[in-house]
Amino acid sequence: MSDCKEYLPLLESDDMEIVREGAFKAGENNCTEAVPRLAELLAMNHLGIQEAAESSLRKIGGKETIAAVMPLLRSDDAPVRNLSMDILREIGHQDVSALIGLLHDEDPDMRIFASDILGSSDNRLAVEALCEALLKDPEVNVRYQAAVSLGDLGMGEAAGCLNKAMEDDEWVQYSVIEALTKIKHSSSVDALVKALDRASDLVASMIIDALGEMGNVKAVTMLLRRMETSPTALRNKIAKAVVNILGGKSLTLLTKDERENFRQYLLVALKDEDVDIQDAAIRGLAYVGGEHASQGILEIASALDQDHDQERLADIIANLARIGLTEALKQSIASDDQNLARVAVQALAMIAERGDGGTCSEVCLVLVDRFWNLGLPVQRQVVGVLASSASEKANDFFVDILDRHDDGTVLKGAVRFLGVKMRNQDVVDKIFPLLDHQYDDVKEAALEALIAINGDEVRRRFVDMSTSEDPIHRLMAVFALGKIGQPGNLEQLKIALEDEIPDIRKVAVEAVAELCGESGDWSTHVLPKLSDENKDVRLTVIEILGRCYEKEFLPHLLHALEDEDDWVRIRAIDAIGEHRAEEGVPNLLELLENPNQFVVMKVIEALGNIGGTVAFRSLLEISDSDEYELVRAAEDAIAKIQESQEK
Amino acid sequence: MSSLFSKTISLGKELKISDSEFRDLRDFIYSQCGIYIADNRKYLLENRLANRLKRLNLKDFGEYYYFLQYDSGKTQELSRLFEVITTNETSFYRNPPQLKVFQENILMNVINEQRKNGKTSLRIWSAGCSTGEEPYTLAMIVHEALKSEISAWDIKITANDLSARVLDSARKGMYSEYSLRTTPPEIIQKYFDSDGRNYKIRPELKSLVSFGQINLKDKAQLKRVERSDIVFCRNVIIYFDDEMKKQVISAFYDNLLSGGYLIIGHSESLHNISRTFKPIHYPGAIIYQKEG
Ligand SMILES: C[S@@+](CC[C@H](N)C(=O)[O-])C[C@H]1O[C@@H](n2cnc3c(N)ncnc32)[C@H](O)[C@@H]1O
Repeated sequence: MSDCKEYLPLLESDDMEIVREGAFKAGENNCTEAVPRLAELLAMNHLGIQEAAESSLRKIGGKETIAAVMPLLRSDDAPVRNLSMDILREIGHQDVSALIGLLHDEDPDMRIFASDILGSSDNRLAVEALCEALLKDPEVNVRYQAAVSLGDLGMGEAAGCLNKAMEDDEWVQYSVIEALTKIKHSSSVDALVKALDRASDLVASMIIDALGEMGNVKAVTMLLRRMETSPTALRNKIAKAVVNILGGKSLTLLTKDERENFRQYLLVALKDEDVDIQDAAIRGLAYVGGEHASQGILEIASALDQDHDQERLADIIANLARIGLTEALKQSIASDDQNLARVAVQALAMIAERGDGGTCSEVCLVLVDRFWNLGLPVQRQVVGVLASSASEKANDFFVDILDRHDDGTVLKGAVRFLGVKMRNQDVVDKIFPLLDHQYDDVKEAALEALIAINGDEVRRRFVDMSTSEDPIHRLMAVFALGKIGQPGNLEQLKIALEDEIPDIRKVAVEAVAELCGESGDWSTHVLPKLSDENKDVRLTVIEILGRCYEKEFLPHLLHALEDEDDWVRIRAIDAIGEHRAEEGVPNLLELLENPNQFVVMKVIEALGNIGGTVAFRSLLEISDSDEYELVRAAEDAIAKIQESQEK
Repeated sequence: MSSLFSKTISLGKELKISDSEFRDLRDFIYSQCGIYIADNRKYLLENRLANRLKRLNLKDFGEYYYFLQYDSGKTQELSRLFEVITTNETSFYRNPPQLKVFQENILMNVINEQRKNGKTSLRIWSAGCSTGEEPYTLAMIVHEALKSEISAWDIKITANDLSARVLDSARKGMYSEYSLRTTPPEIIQKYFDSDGRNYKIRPELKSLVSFGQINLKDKAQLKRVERSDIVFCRNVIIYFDDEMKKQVISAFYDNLLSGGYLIIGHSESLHNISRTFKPIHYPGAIIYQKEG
């Protein structure tokens, strides 16, 4: 507080920069004594000082600030008034009764301001006071603002007085309806419905919207009844409200006649220019559906933009899918309008995925049937759908694609289906050439497919390939032989371990290690690679020793702690820690002196994983050092040891 | 062999950032430079950093977070990270209408005001200068405005950025045609030496600009910048959240001499950020003035 004494004189300086600085400081130090002066500064005509005073008054807050700022609401200077309002909106809750007092001020403007501020007070006491203002204040603008603020407060206690206020002027009704929509009290449904009969067109349409948003089913019967007699614009709004209240699904609970009627209304609402109404109609039609609905929705979709209307399109697609397979969808996939075609395929994909009973009979037939007439972008999509949803009946179709198509994406889909999904031995001849495709992703897909197909023929060809001149072929062959995981392949892999290309040696190490699930002496072949000249190869070996850990690997891991490459060391540390090899602790401790702090942090982490007396003691020691980060890490590690002991 | 089959087969190995890793990294980045990565940019961050992780041989984003704090290479990695999350997009004479207003109204005002008071000093600060196009452009505009009188003036353009890499390149002052796409031909003729492919800034301009690294997040650093007549900070605060924007704008206010001007990006605004400046509306630009 002694600081505050220092800042007060700054606020009196002639130098505006000093005043600004002082005003900020007073706020940072919560100087209540400075509040009266800060309020004066707020009213001063200097933007830099106003900013500082404002920010500090907000920070300090409290009764004193409210008392000091309230009088500024009467200022003739509009910016000062606005600033004060803003501050009071933020801190007003700290002295609600002072503001309630202002609701009885003689000046109607003050009463409006007070109503406004109380709307942000989040305080129940404000409700009663605002309700009184709403029902009794002689000035219509005060009543209007009171309703707005009651809505902002959003408390159920206000429903009663707001319901009554529906009998007030139309101007007040606007804000009352909005407030009721926010509060969503069930008692308000009746009040709103009652008001509907004598409401102007504008108020009527606001009431309909409100009922829709309140989501109370009580309103549905009345709304449906009104539909017949209402003009189109209002009827569309009612349709939206009903869909909003019931959600699409419950629409199926209407009687058959009601449903048919409602469907006709929704089809009309699809053509409304209000997007929200369109969307509600779409949601409703998803459940009461039909051919016309599908067609109408597709028309809307075709006018949308893929980037801007992403969300809307996604909803539309889901709803189209819910309606199911229609002629309109079938037609649309072949449309020249790419937008439309894309939407249609996506909807069909969803229908296919849902695949009643796990098969995609009908949709897949349609897609296969039209495939060759579609544009390339649509073909790519269709192949994706078929590859994941089609049954073995699509085999011939995909084989045909391998023969005739040359687009990478399309080929990938075919390869995925025939290889990974169907494991079709007969297409091996057609897939092998794709290992030389110009795009890597196609190569990868082909490789993956061949590995999945497996079998003698595939193996024989990879064995041949493993001695190819072309390093890429050797690489792929070694990779595949490893994944296939036949102990019989070990001979080829052993040769690859000595390949002149480091990347191939690395993949060979991984390949040999694929055999580590089986018994056998895979490790005798891999361990010598710990002295490979290439650090990536060494690193791979260490990672594998960690993954397929056995006790006799420990000496090798300990040895790797002395590798010249930090990452080889770090992965060795990880492995020793992960497998809680207590014998490794002394070697780890030596690394605590390492200049690379990342290595040190890893050691600390490992010690925490290993636990035991020695590790624990050394962690205690570290936690006594004066390097903040080490201490924190050591404490975490100690906590971990303690935790594992409690278990 | 350029790339051995996508740098040794990557089948199925994808690095994903978990929600908690994302939060850690986001908070870390914010604490380091005030740039706030919104949730919808999570995927972008994951995508752009995945390569760093692969390069560094890191297992996951948690390890990367660790690396940034503890590894002996952390400072270097931090500037890499900054490069990933910032855009250094810029060009000479970026947004000509705004610069026209600057040249004809703002700069002339300041110069005349100085003349009136018998002073000949001019201080301009380009905060977030990227590879130097902006401060050099300002140097050219000052030249155009003062013409032969320039030798009698004491002029300094302070140009700062967070990224050391862009500053290195700025100091070199070598540019390609692309950076000049909105520059008037006579200006190119006058202020660059060209060998037909590259364009080099003339020494008389270079001497007006001094480059230095600054983190706009660091209040103390900002306080040390020499007081300015004009501050340019264009297309920089868009990366910041409101809190940081307020802080930075308030620092510019404190830095400006009274009557000085702040120029922010054409699509940026101080709305809801600061009311301290007086906005002056010109056709094609809004300029902010610190009232005297
Ligand atoms: C898009 S460039 C704008 C360059 C130039 N002002 C213009 O308008 O053409 C944004 C620059 O802001 C820099 N930047 C981002 N955050 C920063 C920070 N916290 N401190 C300093 N510079 C930062 C970036 O490094 C980048 O060079």
